[in-house]
Amino acid sequence: MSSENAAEAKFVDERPPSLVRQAFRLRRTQIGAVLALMLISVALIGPFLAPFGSTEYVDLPNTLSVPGTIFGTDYFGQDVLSRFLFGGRTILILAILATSIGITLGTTLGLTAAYLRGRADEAIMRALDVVLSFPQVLLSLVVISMFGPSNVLIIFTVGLSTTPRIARIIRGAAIGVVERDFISAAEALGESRKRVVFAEVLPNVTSSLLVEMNLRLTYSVGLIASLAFLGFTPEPNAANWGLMIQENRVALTEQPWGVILPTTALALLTIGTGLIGDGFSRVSAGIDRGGKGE
Amino acid sequence: MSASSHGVDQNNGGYMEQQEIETSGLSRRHFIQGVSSAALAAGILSSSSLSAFAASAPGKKGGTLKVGVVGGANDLFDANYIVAKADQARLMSTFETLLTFDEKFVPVTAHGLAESAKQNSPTKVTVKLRKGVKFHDGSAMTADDVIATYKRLLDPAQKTTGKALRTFLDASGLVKVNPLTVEFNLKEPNVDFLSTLANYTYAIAKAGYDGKKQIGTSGYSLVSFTPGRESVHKRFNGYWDAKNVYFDEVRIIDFADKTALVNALIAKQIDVAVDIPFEQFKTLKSKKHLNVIENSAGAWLAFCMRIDIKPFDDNNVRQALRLLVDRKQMLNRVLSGHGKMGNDLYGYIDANYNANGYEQRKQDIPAALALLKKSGYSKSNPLRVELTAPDDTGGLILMIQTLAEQAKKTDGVVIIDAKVIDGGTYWSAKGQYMNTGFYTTYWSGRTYLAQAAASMDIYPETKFPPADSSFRADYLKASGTANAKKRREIVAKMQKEEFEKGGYIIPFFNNFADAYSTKVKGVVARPSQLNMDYYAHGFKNIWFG
Amino acid sequence: MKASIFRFVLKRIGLGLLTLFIVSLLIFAVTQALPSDPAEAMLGREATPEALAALRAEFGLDKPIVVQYGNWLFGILGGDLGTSYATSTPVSEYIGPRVGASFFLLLIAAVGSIPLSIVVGANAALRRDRKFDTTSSLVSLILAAMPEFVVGTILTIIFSTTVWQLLPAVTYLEVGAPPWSDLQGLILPVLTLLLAVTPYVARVMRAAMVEVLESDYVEMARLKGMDERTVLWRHALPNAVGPAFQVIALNLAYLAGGVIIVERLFNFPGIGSALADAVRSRDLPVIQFLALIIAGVYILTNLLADIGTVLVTPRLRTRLK
Repeated sequence: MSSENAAEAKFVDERPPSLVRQAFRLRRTQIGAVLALMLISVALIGPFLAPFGSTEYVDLPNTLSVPGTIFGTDYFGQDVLSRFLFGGRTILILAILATSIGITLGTTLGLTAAYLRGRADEAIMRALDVVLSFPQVLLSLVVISMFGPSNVLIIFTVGLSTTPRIARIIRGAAIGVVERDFISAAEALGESRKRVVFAEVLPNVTSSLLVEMNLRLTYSVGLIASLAFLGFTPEPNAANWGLMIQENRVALTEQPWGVILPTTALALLTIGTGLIGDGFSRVSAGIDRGGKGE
Repeated sequence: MSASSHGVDQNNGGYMEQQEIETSGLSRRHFIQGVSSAALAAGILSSSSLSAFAASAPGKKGGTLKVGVVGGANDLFDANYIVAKADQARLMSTFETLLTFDEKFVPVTAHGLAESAKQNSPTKVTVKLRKGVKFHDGSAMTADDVIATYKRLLDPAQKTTGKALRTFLDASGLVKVNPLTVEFNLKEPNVDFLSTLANYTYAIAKAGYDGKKQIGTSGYSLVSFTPGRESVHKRFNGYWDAKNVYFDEVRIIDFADKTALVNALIAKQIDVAVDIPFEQFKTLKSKKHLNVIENSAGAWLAFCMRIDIKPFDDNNVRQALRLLVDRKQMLNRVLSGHGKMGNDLYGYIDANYNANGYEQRKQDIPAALALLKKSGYSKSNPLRVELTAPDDTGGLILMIQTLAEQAKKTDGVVIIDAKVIDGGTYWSAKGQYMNTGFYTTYWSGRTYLAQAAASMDIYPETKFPPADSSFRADYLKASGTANAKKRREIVAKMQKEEFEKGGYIIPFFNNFADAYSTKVKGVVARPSQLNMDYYAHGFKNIWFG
Repeated sequence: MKASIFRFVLKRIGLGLLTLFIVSLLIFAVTQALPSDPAEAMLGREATPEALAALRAEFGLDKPIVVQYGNWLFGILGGDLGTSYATSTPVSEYIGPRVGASFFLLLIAAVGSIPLSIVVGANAALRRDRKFDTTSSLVSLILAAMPEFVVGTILTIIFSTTVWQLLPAVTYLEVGAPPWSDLQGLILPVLTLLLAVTPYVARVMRAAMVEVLESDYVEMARLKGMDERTVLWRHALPNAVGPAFQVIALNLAYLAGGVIIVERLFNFPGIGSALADAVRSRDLPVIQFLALIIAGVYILTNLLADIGTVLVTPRLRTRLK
């Protein structure tokens, strides 16, 4: 291997770690990470700190001042604080699973389509268009009325309908990159296509990916809450932030905490992941430019 | 209930053949919502500002009354059939029955089309019709129309609530004595048939009524009806009681979401909100421009155990499950206290309710466990059962969740798997309802014998009574017994059997509430089966002031 | 060049129609698989087997699936949209006015959200890292975090029922009245939709703008000595429009989903509220038709976005050759 190739190979290997490190040098990424970590901890550790059980009856529903509680009781006479502490876990798992499916499928398909170009590209994107064209809420509604509401179905529905959106954006970003010289150069070097796709194109679309991921996370939770609003819930009374919002919505004027707590948690989580995403996109934008020019 | 004389001869209390209020689709889901409020006093009603109801002098005519109700595409319009509360409202706005119920659930002629009604014998009733009653198209109402209506109710090919009527009456028993007099000749003795005539879905439509053209006798004629949107009703000047009809127009407006309904009332876009969710009870009561009326008329939600399906064929299991229930907590959790505790007996409004004077059942885990032990259930051999509820009736979902939670107190001896099933499946012919061993149901208030009939023949939810029981024979006997004291004895016997061996778990009787703008005057708070005091008997005797 | 663009457009339209056809097949297949059938849903608890069978025959539910699909498809093409199971009225009568109403609502929301998000996004990109950017970013994130019905509920509490009593809480349209007959009642639903969609679009707009502003192309323009404003209007913005197109299209589609929630919350008589109703009551003709319409709208907006992107991006235009 010539010295130039060695240098380039080294550069490729070094990129991922320095990206992360660079991103975390920014104040905004740090704040975002703190927020996200804080909420993830609440979600994970919360159940151990809860004063009451998640379905334990405490007092008359929707009562603000109940001795022994800070925020009073919810729509079913349960402690709002305890429900909140229990409610993060399920939501996180659901949302992460759903988003992961969407991102994995979407990224693979999007990159493949971008890289293969031509007929394969068309075929993939048209197939995805079919999925895309299917109204997401309707898809959920119909699937749910077919099989009944269940968490697994929600995960797959959100994941499946997220896929084409992500694929589209990834493909859009990747197409520009794919046309760049250094990819052709790598091909000329004889590296396998797969390696080229994942090792060299991927880091350059990280920014779009991260921005989308953060939005999809929020959207999954929102979808769960919205489906509950329309009357379709997998486990009624499950301790789950999205469900909490809908369950306590009717009594909002009498017992606001039942909605305020989970909504605030969601908002902070979204802000946190958003800031992290911003930090990464900022940093990877610099790398996208590359040092070598067009 | 005491005997009253309003031109109606009848015997004390007893048999009432009313139709239950059926809800489906979206309105089922909003039927009962739990909410907070201080526990209600024993009084039946409450309102926030009695001065609004004080006997104010009847006001001016005019205005459009906007009534908000939960409804959707499933709305229907029929003189003899309802499914949801929206349908009730529309029925009451257009049609009238021969008799109505007063606040003591005694059949009377007030607001009815009968001038007088007499039970000549246990198998014969004679009804004299009011003179000068006109249909909305101007034609006169006569005995022909009454007979045609009852024939329609008796016809099994028609989709009506008349199934229960067929036990006692055949088409041949309807006799026209003269244009204003009808005779009902019953094939089975029923000493309280006058209550049957007061059933709000036995409303009189014009002969030849096919369910499509809504021509009734009420104070408002139907102008238009768009399912899922609204119905518009115009004052009918030929109405026989026209002096008590004040509004120019009534609009019954559908809402899909209960919060939207309440918000519309608060924002003064509608004048009445029917069946408000209890979560908003306090909020609405605190608004100065609104009044809230709560009604307690014996409606109930229940767990059903089929006595012919394992393990519920074992009476130890049934009684153990009844003892499992912390009824006070269930009342609080499900209805936020808006109701009365139940004792596994129905017929709350009946004078003979709990004729044996049973003490209020309470949660008694040790006694329950003892019963279960007798049948071999323990921690190592737990009683594990599935309990289902439909997703379109809020109260039922909360009920099964509560029971499952309360069962945890047995420390693993009883495990209840509470499952919510989508409404379409649950209520379907092969669904969980009436086809499984342990599920839930809802009813509106009826007298004891009427409910017994419904639970035996129309909706055999528990398949009670068993073959070797005298329950059914007792029921027929009681229906034909004129003597009040004797009837009470028989009813007490029936109740004893249900209390000790029945398949229902009835934790409470639920209230319902409506909210009005203070602009609406003349509203009277009194016990009634339907919201808005039977929808003000077709929006009469209320006005804008 | 023009011929190849023309061919491209035709090809895309053809593909769009094919997609619509496949979608219609999928919709039909999925809805026919629903567990409890409409006959039961309609007749309710009192249904006798004879009544059920009669109803099924009336609606042709007893014929083989392929025949049912064929009848449906040809019916729609011929203008007969079928009869709603729930209301027993023709679907066109039941849904027709609602389509118009929803379309009107969407139009206003779109007309508001697109310029708003472009302006907010572009400004945030221009002034990145300064106060406007960070605040708008924060607000966008917060709004994106809240489900629409929460936003709507809070807006109602603030402006209509509890804090101030300025606006109507629900939209009230008399039957037969046009959707603009209660403009005041439209304010809150439109506002809710705006707040639901704009955050997403603004953020993506911003990201696209930032990429453009930091691209070599723009750098070169700056180096040539052009002032920032010319750089923005002549070089940056046109290149950001392409990707923005795609995102706007995607988010119009998202608006259509959000409509289901918002209509129910504000009792707006549109297709959104009809849809949830229909799914619950297994009203197949209505579900199928609405799904088809919504899918059709998606396909159309994607089509326009694709064509627009190609027309606007010189690079892609040359690839057509």
